[in-house]
Amino acid sequence: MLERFPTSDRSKGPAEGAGPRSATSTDQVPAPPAVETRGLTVSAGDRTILSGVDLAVERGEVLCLLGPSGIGKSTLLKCLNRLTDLEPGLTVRGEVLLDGASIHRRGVDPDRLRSRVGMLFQQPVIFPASILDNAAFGLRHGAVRLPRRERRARAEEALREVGLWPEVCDRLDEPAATLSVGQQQRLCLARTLALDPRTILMDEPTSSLDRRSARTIEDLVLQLKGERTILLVTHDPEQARRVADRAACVAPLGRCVDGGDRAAGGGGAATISACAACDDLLRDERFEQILHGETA
Amino acid sequence: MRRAGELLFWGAAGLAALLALTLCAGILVATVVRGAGALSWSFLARASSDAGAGGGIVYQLAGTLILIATALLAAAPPAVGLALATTVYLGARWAARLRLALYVWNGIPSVLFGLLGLVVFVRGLGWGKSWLAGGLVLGLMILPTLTVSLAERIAAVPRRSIEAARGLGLSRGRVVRAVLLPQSLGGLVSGALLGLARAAGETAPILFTAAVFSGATLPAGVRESPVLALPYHIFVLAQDSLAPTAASRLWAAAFVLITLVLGLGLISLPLRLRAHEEARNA
Repeated sequence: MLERFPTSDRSKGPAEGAGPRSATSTDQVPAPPAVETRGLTVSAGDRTILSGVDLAVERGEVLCLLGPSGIGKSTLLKCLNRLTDLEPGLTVRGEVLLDGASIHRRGVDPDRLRSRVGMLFQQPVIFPASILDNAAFGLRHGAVRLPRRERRARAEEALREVGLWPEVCDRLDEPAATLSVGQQQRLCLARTLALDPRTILMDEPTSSLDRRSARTIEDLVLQLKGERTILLVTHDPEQARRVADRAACVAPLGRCVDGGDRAAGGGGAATISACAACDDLLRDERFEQILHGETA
Repeated sequence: MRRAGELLFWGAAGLAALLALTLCAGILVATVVRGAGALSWSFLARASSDAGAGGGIVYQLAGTLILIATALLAAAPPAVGLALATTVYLGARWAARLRLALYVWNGIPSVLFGLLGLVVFVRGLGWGKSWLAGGLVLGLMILPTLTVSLAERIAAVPRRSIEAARGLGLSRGRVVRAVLLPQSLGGLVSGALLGLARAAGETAPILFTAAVFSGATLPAGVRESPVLALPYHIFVLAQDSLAPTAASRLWAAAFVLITLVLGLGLISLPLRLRAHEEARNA
């Protein structure tokens, strides 16, 4: 069995909306957020990319991250599974907690952490291998490896979970490159789900897909909601409306996406705005205008 | 104006390609025409007689194959290590220094490798002339070609593939094993072919370390175990043989050598194409 990311004692309470994977509890202490950042600041040399980001995402929640291109949304996601460790020159300060436990504390193996915080990228990334081998890639080569038979069973289960099984069950040994782009993205999601992550980070996962494939991914997000915590970066307001429970805006420091002043500061670094305007964005008629209008 | 420039470019490129193909075809045709008379199954399958003028190259062929196989086996593992060092493990500054060293290494004249082999293996280790000494020297010679070719392919692996693999929890070592090396296999094959083509035709390094003109068959050990080799055979026939039949024999031997090199390329072609296709689709 895959180990889950260790949780603190406080996290043992059942999370609202969480599925059968939640533990039971006897006390009344609320479970910590599934994902939490406290004063997260990311800089590259002299340039500050994210500044003092405070964010809390409850278990089973789908949070959409909005904001203009290049503002640091992808960087924020990469902070949550320590992919930023691989970027030379990036400095990360502040705290990132998963289920109440810091991911930067001593003894945390970043590879093990990444195998439990799934990530889906803008473009599907398939490896030059068969469909089945792609689905089982993380289980075969990742931090937690499974025997061949168990690996295959988990991979097939994941393919069923993303609805790809009927389309590929009779050609599992064919190269994954023979799939359409939409199918490839679902295969990437299956590959992630095979690792049974509690949290999934999605970085504009439908931006390279046609409308139909994008809707299929959205349906999968809705299907996973409640069971897994999902942070989804998107530029599509309709998509955010369809799938998100809440929205958070990554905006230049000192400003919210609606242009209003929120805090003192400057320097062009982005921060998360947790103001009511952001939270109400999904219902805001100016949503699209705000998103593409440029936050400064 | 733009169209004229394009036409000029295509013309120059076509001319260069034509020149290369003509040269290649010319060498092949000249070799076949001059050596065809001597080519036969018995020429390939029996030992040489009359100091090479009587034909027969089976041990020269076997010796050449032994030398290039040894060179490949000796060079491939360090080439993989060096390529990974320059692309994955070393910082930018040290990687650049190592790459520069490899380019300098590649430019060292082959005769110096022969002298190195003479000093280290033949005399230093007391092997005398030995197939192993020759193979190792040829391995040292082709090492930069293999390394650079592989390193270029590793560097060309899309960054998103590496990021996706790390995102699945693969360690750096597992990324190397599961992503980088499989996707760069074509580079190793290409480098090996280029290197072996050079190694197969080299005379100077094996002259000092491994090859004799006659009196050897298949090696039975390491010490004092020289081999016969096609390049050296051709060299001696061309330089020293006064026999009237020697000319056709040496051209026939040259044709066999060229065929060997081309054959290596053809054998590995499907593998290279598959590796290219997989890398393109990744």
